[in-house]
Amino acid sequence: MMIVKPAAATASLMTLALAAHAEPLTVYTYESFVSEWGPGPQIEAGFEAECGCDVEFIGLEDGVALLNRLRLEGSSSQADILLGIDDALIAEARALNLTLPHGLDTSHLSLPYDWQDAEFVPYDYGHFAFVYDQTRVDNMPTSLEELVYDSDLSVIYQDPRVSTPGQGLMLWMKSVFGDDADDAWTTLQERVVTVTPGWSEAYALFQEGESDVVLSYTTSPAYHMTFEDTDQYQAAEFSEGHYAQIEVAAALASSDQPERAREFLAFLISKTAQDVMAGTNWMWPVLDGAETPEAYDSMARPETLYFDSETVAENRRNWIREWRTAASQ
Amino acid sequence: MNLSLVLARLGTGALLLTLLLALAGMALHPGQGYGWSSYFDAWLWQIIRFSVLQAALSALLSVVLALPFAWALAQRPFRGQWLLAGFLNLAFVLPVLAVVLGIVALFGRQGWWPLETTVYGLPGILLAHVALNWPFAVRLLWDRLSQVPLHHRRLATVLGLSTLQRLHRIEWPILKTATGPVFVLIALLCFSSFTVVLTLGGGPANTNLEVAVYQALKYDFDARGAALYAAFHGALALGLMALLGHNKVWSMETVAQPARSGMKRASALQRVAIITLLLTLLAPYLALIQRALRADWQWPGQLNEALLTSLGIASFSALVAVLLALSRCVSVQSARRRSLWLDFGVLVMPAMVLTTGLFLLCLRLGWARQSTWPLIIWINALMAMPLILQPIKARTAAARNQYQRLTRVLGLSRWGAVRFVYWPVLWPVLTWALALSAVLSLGDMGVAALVGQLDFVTLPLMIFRAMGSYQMTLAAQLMVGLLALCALLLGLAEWARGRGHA
Repeated sequence: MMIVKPAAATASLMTLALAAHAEPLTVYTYESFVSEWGPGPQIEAGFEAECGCDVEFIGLEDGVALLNRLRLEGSSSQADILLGIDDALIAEARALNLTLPHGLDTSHLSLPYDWQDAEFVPYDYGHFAFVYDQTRVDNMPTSLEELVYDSDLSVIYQDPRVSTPGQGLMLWMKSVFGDDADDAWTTLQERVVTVTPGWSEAYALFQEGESDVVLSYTTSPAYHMTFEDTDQYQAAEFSEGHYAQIEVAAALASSDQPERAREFLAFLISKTAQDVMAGTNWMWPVLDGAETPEAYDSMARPETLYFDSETVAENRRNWIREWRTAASQ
Repeated sequence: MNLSLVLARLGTGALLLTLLLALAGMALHPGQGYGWSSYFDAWLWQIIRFSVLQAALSALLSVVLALPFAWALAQRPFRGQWLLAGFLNLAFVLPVLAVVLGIVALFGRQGWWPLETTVYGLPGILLAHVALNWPFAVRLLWDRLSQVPLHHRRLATVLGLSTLQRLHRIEWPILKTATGPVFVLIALLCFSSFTVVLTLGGGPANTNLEVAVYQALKYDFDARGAALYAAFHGALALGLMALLGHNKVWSMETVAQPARSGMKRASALQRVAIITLLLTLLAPYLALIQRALRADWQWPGQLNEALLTSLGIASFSALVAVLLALSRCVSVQSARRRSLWLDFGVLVMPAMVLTTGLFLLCLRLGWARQSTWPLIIWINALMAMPLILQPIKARTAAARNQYQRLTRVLGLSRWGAVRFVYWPVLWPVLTWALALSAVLSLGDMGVAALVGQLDFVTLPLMIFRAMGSYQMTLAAQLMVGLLALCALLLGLAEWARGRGHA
């Protein structure tokens, strides 16, 4: 017995040490972030080299699905980091009491509107816009109002219940049309081909020629200019301004390696990670001086529309119901 | 205690426990829900209206289109008709996603005959539902018409009745009574349709209750909403089932018509009907294959794993489904009303609610990761069970009636009776049931999509994800592979049945 005891203790210590080493840092994010062409692989390699640890990305459909997954798992989640919800959803995510303060200085970051948060770290941003193919469409409206009420272009957009771009359009419509948003939805719906669950489905259908315009970002044309060397695809500039989206990440309280999670958040706004964002996630980096593909120089910097996330949290369900009813007339 | 009684009790217990645990899981859902009155809005009536409308239209189209074909095929027995009947069954059990993909390949923007507007929405949903249920309706009505007593036919010939008169005097009365139940049955199936409406719906206007349950849980995180939609779904489905009554149309098995030597070749009319049927039914699959052949075959890295997972799940859930079905027919007393409701409980309770309830319970208990396989196997088995139950029940009852006295006279032990009496009678139908349930769970997408942990991948899930990123060619290729697997299994089933009759 005397001999067995210390041996067993050493063995269990060793397994503990091994486990601590083997345990990867788990990041819940949306699917396009982790795809071959997304920022995921480079971010993963970059941080792994810095910390000498293992990072595991797990891709879910889209931002809203991400939040729902976290709600479902609560404090028993295996994730250490939540990456990829946007500014509109922050109040709802905070109410879950699952996130940790990041302790980072984010005041130097450039964002479309003045915003800081103790728990959520912004890592890129963009403005929603309708993208069209200028070889096929020559009468692109110059305002959202014109697109809705005075145009015959067919439209594909994303479901506001699962997709952050879809939710962005809902908030955009609300900020432009206010109480008349339901009427605008009903009018627009007559020309809607389909409402897809996520951004990639919508964009792929649009590229297959199923619709004239698709909801995406002002920076989407930069992708085609960079990789396909064509300016065929354009983002329409609307006179009312464009709804903005800031994408954020946070460390989770259920994590058993909160320090490492914080290090990851710090890495996310470092130059190394920020240099990757524009050319892979096709959104503006938050760090001034971060690299962007050349095509970004010609991208529009539209005027910003936004609601603060408390207002969104308060009204989201009612606005979704309004959309649901109006869009199924 | 009697062994068969234990088995029967186990089956009943497992079914009841599943329903209870699912309800408990739903009650534990962390989504708090909203005031009840806020659910009763215009949208609720819209989805109820749409659920009923699309189900009624799908069933109407399927039945109306089926009538002339069933009539033509039933004119007289013909050589090779079992082959055609088997084919009609095939169209009904193949993965729903295959039909969806086929419809897109036929009528999508890049398809053979692009629709004027778009394939998304009501047109696509109706096309897919008709492709799934029309052959089923043809088979059921044809079966019914083939049961016209021989002496009626002889009499008609002796009296020299014309085809029209025969239709009026003999066949129409039969069709009239059979059409109602077949219509209700197909309406019920389309009412609970999930995959078709989810993939081809294309917007909030084209949502049915089953999809609304899924969306409430997955999109809105709203258990109360899901429960409400599930309740409406259940109530309406129960109403439809009450309409169906005790009709025994719920059988997937072809009436086995042994090849009689006197059977003639199909008449000209029958040949036209057969060729039209085959061409129409095969068109979506041909379009799918053509789509798959557009590019070189790909073998994505995940495919091996997906294939193994799918086959594993299919084998286990087929085994469980058959055991469960057996447990429902071993005991004579089990033919009671209560157990009948239990058997159909799974059909009425949306699979989404059942799945989510059980999954939530596992999450609460911290078993989410370990529970993926058992959950998917169990729920797939539950969904396959009602479809294989009737034939197994019929065979066991027949064997019991025929041989019970004999086994007693011979003084056979219980194992002896199983070994020498029941097994030889039952094994063909059991093999058939195994293959059929395996095919059904091979094609399942909904359960795996809801329960699957993030790194979990099955063949249909892979297809769905490929479709999701509109990699239609890859999706088509994977689907052709899945269809080949299904065809192999069903071929095995037919072979077993053939051996059984020999």
